[in-house]
Amino acid sequence: MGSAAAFAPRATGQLSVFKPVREYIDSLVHPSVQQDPLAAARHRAFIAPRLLGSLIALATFPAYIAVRGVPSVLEVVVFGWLLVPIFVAYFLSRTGHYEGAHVLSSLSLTGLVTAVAWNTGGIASFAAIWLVVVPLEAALSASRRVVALASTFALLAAGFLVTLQFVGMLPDAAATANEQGALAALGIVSASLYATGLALGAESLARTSFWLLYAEVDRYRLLARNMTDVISRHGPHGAVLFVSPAAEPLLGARIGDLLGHGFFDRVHVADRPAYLTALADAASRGETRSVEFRMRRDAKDGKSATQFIWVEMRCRPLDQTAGQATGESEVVAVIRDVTARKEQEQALDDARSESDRANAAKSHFLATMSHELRTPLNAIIGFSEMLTNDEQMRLDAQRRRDYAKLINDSGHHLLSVVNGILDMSKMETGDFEIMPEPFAPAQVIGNCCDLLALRAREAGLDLELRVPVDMPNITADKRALKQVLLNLLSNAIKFTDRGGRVIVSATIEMGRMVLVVEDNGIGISDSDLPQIGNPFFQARSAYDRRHDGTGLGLSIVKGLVALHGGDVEIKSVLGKGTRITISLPADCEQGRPARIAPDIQPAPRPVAHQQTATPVRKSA
Amino acid sequence: MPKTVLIVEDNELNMKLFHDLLEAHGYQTVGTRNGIEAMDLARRHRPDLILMDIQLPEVSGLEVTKWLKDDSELKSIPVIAVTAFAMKGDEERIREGGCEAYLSKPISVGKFIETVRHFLGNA
Repeated sequence: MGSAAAFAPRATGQLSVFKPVREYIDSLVHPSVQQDPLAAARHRAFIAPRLLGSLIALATFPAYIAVRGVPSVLEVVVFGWLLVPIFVAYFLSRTGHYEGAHVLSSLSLTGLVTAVAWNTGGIASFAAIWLVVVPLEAALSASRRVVALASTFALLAAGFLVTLQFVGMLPDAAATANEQGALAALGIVSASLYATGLALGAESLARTSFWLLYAEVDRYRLLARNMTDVISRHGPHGAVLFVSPAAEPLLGARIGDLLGHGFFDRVHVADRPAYLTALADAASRGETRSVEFRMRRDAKDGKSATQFIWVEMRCRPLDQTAGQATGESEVVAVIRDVTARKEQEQALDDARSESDRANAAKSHFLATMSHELRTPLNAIIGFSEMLTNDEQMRLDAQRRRDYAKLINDSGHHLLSVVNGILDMSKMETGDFEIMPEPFAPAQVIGNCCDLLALRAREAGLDLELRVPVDMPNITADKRALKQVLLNLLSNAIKFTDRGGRVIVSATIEMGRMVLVVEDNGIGISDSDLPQIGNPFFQARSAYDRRHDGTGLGLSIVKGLVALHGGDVEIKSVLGKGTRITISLPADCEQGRPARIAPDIQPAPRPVAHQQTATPVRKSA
Repeated sequence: MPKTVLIVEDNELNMKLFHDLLEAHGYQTVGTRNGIEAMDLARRHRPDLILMDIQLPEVSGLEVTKWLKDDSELKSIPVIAVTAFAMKGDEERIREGGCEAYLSKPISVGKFIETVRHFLGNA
């Protein structure tokens, strides 16, 4: 494990001589605890001293014999007993049963001490003090059960020795008083040394567990610091208790400012309910919740405007058992910047609705075209069918001539609709050519007014012309100017109620001709104004259209004016009237780009009514 | 006594066409290009049949049909929609709006007269 590697190098440096021993002892650790560093350390701490101690004891046996001469039976038994820890160590190695190994170890130590004490003066023996070591050794097991058992063994052994002395079953002590003193000292010193060894072992285990814990914490800290996702911990009511450093670059704020309710303050007001609900659900219901919301990000330099980023937060209760116990637990959350994905989704959405809108506009355009073509066709087909059956219909010559004229009128109307569509489509594709020539604008304007004077009179309108007689010539496409004016005038007449007035005025100022058509008609609402002049208009609802027309009139005006390098300005107040100002260069050949793409928006939104006119007489 | 047909149609030429056709077949006609006036005429003349254009100034033909069908005295008068709205779905929507029949423009004279006869019988 990485954590072990983090603090192991110092140890291996010192213990390189013992490396083979270490490796051998490591290999004895039972596989079931190999993955748990602390348990493995406990197993090593159990196996190593027992193996080494027993081997050293056996190694000293020949030296002991050399000093003492032929050993007594007891001495042989004692040395034999010293082999028991080896078996206990292998028991642990094979079974992985740590507590059982400790119990066996306690039993064997108790047995050895009891046997020696029995033969060297019972409870008063130098060896009896070793009984104290038995529970001490068991303390390393970190198991109360083992400690309790070991204590019981020691007490039973002590009781046994006292009983033996009481019933006089102790063998005679062979040692002299001097020897007894030396032996007592030996017993105390050896027991103290062994206890010291145990204490050192305990300290080493404690240190190991501390290092392991530290490494664990360090590892998580490292993870949290290096993740781009933010990890946060939320207390009751969503207050932030911890937030990982990744939040700083994400939100452009210091960690300290995000703690408590600083984080919540950055959540977009509209998204706060969703944010709080997710946290509350995670805390109270103990379920994982995911929520997407916007958060304020402060600009790095503190000058540029703050922006909002989209984040996704997945939160779950920190401790599910604790949560169930108290009803409300802390929540841990992972927060991720999903702005890019959100922007993509938004772009996709926009594209889709844009295309939907364009599609709807197209269908509507088709429906309207169909309507506008069918209306004159109805008269053409109807009257011609009547002419075909003139005898059956009992039509006289006058009637027949009338019908022929009506058919002719309708045909012309139809032609003008078709021309309008073609002009529009040419302007859209940029194929519309204008042919500029010098001419007197006052005359053309006058002609247009004459053409529509009758219709204005029929509609009960006052048509007024305000054009200076001495207006200089301009260079433009004469036919186009005529069409522009006819379209604007037809619109004004169509959308002005009986008794109203329409004023046409023109001036030339600063090299531009300014043409104004003004009415006091129904006007255009502010919301519809931006859509006015879109070729693919859409009425409030097809059946509700109050005025017929193709909607092409004004869009053709816009296109023609743009081709001259001019501007169209529409001002209108609903219910008060409309004022359309056309501004054209007096000489459109000067400074006009070779070919201007007409100012036509192909994607309109719904328009309540259309300000339209085809450039021809409308038979209403 | 000849049967009377109320023609609601805002296009002058089409109005003349329907008027002449009906007259040639012996029906009497009353005409208006305005939906609101159509209600007045319907009350005054109690026509036997109404030909209704759908796109009208001020108020749509569908709206006028709704008024007619909501009027206990006028709702029995059959209404034939004669309209240039002839796209998919238009007929259904117009019939749902209360019109008894639907004719799309351009009309066929034969079918027009046949439909009128269906409601009025021979003049």
